[in-house]
Amino acid sequence: MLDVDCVRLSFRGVRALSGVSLAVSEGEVLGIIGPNGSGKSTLFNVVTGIYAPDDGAVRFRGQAITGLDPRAIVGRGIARTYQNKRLFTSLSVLENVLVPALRREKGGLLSDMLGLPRAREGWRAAYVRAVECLDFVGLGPMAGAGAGSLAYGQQNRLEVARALALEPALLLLDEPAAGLTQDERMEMRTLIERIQARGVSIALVEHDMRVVMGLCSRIVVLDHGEVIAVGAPAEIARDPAVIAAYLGAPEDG
Amino acid sequence: MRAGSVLGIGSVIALCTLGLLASDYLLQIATLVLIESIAVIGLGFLTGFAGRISLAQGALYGVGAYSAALLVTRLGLPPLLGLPIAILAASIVGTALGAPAIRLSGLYFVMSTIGMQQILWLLLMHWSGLTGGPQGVRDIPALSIAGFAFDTPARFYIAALIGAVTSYLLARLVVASRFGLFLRAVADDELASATTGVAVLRAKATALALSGGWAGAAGFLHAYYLRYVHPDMFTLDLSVVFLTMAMFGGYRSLEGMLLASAILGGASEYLRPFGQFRLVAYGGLLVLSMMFFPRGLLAVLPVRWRR
Amino acid sequence: MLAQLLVGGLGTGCIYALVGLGFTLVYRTLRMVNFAQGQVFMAGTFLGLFGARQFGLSALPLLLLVAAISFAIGMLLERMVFRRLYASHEVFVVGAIGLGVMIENGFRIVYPEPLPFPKIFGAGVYHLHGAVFQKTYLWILIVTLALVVTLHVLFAYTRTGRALRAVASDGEIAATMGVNVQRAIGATFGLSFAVAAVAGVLIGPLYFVSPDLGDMVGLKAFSAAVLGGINSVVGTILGGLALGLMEALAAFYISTDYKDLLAFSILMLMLLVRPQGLLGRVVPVKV
Repeated sequence: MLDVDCVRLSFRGVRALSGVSLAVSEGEVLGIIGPNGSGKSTLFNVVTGIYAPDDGAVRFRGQAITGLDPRAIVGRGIARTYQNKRLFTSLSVLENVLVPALRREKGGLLSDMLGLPRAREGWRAAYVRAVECLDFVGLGPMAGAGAGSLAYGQQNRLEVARALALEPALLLLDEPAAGLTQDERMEMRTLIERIQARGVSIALVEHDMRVVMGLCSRIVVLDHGEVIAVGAPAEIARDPAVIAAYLGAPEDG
Repeated sequence: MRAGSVLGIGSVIALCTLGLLASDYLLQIATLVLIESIAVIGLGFLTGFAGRISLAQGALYGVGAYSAALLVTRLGLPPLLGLPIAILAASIVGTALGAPAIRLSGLYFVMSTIGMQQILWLLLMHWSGLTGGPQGVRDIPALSIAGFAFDTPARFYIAALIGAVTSYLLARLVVASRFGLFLRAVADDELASATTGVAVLRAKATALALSGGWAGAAGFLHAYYLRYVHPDMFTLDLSVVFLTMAMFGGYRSLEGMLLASAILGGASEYLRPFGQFRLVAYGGLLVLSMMFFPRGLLAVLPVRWRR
Repeated sequence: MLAQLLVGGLGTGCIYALVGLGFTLVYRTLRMVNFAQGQVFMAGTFLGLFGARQFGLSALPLLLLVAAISFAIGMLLERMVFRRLYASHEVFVVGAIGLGVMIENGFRIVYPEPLPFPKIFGAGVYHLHGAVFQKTYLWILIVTLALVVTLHVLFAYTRTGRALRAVASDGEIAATMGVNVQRAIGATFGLSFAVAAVAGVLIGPLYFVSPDLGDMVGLKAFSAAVLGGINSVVGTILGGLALGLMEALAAFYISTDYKDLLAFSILMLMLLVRPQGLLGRVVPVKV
């Protein structure tokens, strides 16, 4: 489904990604792990069009998407969440999800202003989808609250709901469990499983080994912008290169 | 919103009564406030909803005013044709000059609007062949629509009132539309809105076009009210005044912008005899409100009362 | 004739460079633009006027005094006003504009009429390659050069200077290295005020001074800084000189009316084509 082919990216002389190649198969949950600064988020940024790579290619469902702008990539069916959570804080929880939900609906500025039926229908359909996404992540009752007023764990889930409202075929989750309590992490893990059950392929960047091990059929390990290991969770856990990369930085939780 | 509707209708009735009872001097102030409120709301699309500062609204207001003036004095076009053309002219000029820069960061965009303001002012002042240069355009006839002439202060006040109310109602429709939602998202986090499917550039360009259009409409009324236009009416100072009104009232509150226009416009006219003190006070107000109420005056009120 | 134009252009260019430097210093440290910079320049002119007329100060003491006073005022205003404007770019820009409006109109109240500036640099006139120019131009050139060299030495070789540079490149890291960031920011404002005010004194003898000076010079110096690169000191200086020269040539060969248009057209063009300026660097944003 997603093919990252030998992608290279440098920032002012500092290599962020040095020839990274990986693939996400249809229906799987691929884990991407690695120490801080190994290039995980940068990889997502390249796939979602925020950065254009210096070299290499990215293909989605057989078509090249390298260097497309973020909105075009959304149009191809890839959605993402952010590690540092980029919610629309002045909007309500529901409005946050309405933004993506309205994307493909009928109507525009003029038809909204004139109150035309097709515009109203568009809003209705978007509204239904938005509420459905909120319910799916368990934020239904919070729909009217301001997005900025949510608790940390709820904000993480709102990020996911917002991405789901785009009805993606591939979902890129950037540390969705960061900063969550033990219980919340298990809830997030269940949520991801339910997303997978709906037929969405997932690439998951995560630090928490327990979340990754349980969910992912395959894991890619990055270090200093390179892939140092690929395989099933059990193999990865025993791989000496992986252990060396993580040496001295055991994750909490 | 029922309380709001009552307040709104009540305000309009009060304003109509004002038109019947007030002295010519008061009417003059009120008329200018109503006209300026249209430009301020237009600017509000950029400042409040797109999160962009523009210091070109004064010049675009001037483009609208000059369009109206030139169309009627040089080509004899009736106001009903002049209005849409003035709106389009200001909108197109504003979008053409602003669109290339609006993809840049907010800071660079402000800079480019300063450039826009100065360039437009210089053109108004020096392109004598088109604009009459330092002479301005004189002898603009009274506003006359379908035979009815708005040629007394009270009558023109009604025209300005109709304009201001229309501008407000249309603006509310814009804000409530999906475009309004997208724009607010872009102002909150441009990157996230792009990866959430918002056509960011198109939204910003639309905001530019709308703000220019509103400025054009306001300028049209200005030309027909004063019946004379001159480049020095449309300087950077005016842009600063508009910006103060837009930001002082509450960065996303249309009602706040109207209130700010009324308070600041009224106070400004009242202080006019005091000359330079007026502008010092303006500047001071701007600085102090940015220091202590960066989200505008109405942001101080509890949430229940705001939209 | 060309020599005459070049001298004039170079002189104006130095002024743009100095005022532009004020913009750049603050921008490098805070990533904000102080749009009151033009009014600071104007205030410097009047401060110099006051010193020269009331106390009969001669050139060098006057320049030093104005520099010192404006440095102090810069630090003071940072503490009292600017510090509260850091909430966002928009807030800072609008607040600075408000401050500028206050300063300009405040001076208009005190000095409603344009005034002549005492010839503190003497009435001497020089001849060079057919160009005739006042001694003032020599002073402008020399003082600008002196200031630039001083600033360079300050930033490159002194501990204070290195601290200022550290704060400019990364405030958080600088703080962990023991730099008093607040004081460094204040000093940066002080320097930017001092440089602009000195420029004001330098240009005084050339024209009648009036509070209207600030706006145009400020905006043009700003355009010059954008041209050269608002986060590059060298860029701003070169941009200022370039703009001054281009304006002089445009005024003569095209028209005096439209010469003002040049600065703003350059501004718009640069922002479109290369916002970081000719010598500036793009600062990547971390996602």
